[in-house]
Amino acid sequence: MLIKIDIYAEKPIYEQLYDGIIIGIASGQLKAGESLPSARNLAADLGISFHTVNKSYDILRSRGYIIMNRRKTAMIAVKTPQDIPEILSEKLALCVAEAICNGIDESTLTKACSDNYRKIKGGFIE
Amino acid sequence: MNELNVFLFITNICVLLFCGALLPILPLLTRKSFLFGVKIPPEANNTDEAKALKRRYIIITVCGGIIVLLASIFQYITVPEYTFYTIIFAPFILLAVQLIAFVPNHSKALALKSQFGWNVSDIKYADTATSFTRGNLSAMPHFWYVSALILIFVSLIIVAVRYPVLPDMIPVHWDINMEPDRWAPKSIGTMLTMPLINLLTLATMWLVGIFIERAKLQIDHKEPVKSFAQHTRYRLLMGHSIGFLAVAIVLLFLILGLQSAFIDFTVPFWLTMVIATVPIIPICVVSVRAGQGGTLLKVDVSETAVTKRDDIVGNNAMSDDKYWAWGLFYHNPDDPAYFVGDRFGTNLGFNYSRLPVKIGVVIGILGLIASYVWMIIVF
Repeated sequence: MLIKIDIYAEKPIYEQLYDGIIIGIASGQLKAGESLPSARNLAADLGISFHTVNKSYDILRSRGYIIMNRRKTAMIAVKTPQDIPEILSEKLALCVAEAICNGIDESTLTKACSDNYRKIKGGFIE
Repeated sequence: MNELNVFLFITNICVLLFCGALLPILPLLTRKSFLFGVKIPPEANNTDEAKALKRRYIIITVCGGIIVLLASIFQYITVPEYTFYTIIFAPFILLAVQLIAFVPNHSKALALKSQFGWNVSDIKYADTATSFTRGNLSAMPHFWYVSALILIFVSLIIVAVRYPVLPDMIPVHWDINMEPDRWAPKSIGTMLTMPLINLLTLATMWLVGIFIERAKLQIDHKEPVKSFAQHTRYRLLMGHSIGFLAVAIVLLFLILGLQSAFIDFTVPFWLTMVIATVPIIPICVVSVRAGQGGTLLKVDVSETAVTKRDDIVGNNAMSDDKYWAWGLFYHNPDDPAYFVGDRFGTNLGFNYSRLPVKIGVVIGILGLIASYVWMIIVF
């Protein structure tokens, strides 16, 4: 999968990297067990600091999306279905709050949510 | 001495003509997305302002080249004994001419960029399945280098076997008719010269191969998948061309070495010429047909992948221009990569902020100074 980074975007680079990998896993472009490039290699390819990539990998690992094996390479973890984790419900609450601020009603939001779910699951995501 | 001066003079003129002709056309060989080391949208390269800059560059380099050429001829007519100094220092004057033409143009291009808002997106791509700066594109065809090593090993065995039966004087240099014109007393050192030259050549070619493979890719923002495939293909083609050249050079020295080991054995001159020139052809063909970084190559890209990105536009006036001193030297301490594609011409550049690169540059400069001092003392 190609990972995209905009050096001068508002969003921090480590978050862009995190989001990119999350979307890759969700859309099936990155499969469980697949290994990611080492932090140093990915940093060199993107022309960014090695610590930035490490930061993204660290967050991904702490939330259980990737596992680091003994040789310090990152691998996509196998996730079993579970309850909505705390970090996700926080993000969801923020999403809903912003929707309400924009005057969006519940059914429109639910529809947009399920549309996105199907889109990402089907792999129709950039 | 006089004949030598004639030879040096002719060499000098040929070098000056070649370099002098190359300098003015460098902007044409560079990617369309760069104007004197400044990243711009490719379409901005056709504006009148950009063309005026290129005209200015061409005028200065052509005039400078002609002046250096005339000065060399003048020197040869008046003080022919100084031809040697001209031939070793004239390239530096040409380099100065290029800098005089280039550096002001670089600042002007920067000014034009902010004046006209030639914004370019600074989006970077990386592939999760491979890593190009660590040489995982498998563009390094080890087959060629292993074959060359085996050839060198075979030549060493031949030398070892033949050494006891060789006469006391052995030929080490041949004229154009492949008649020996220089002989040396038989010694292990003489016999090992060719294999040693071969090993050094092979090491150099191998390094060039690594440089080419590990240079940073410049991915086209609008068609990243296709661009990536083009780069991979280009590197594979170039890697094979360089590997083929390495084997050919090793073969050439090996044949010359065999002429020392077997006095009666001579290779026709035309054959050595063929071995020396044919391997250049693939490199030229790949360079011309593929374009810089393979941008002209046709590649198959699966339809399911996102191949077109028309939505990406220039996002910001800032860009990585600030990492390019004078538009020529890349210095980005955050970037762990060692090799990057040049912004002017088609060569490779270095990331001068990396320690190994700094050490390499210092060694290179010291070596250059040492060889110049040595040449001047010997002369």
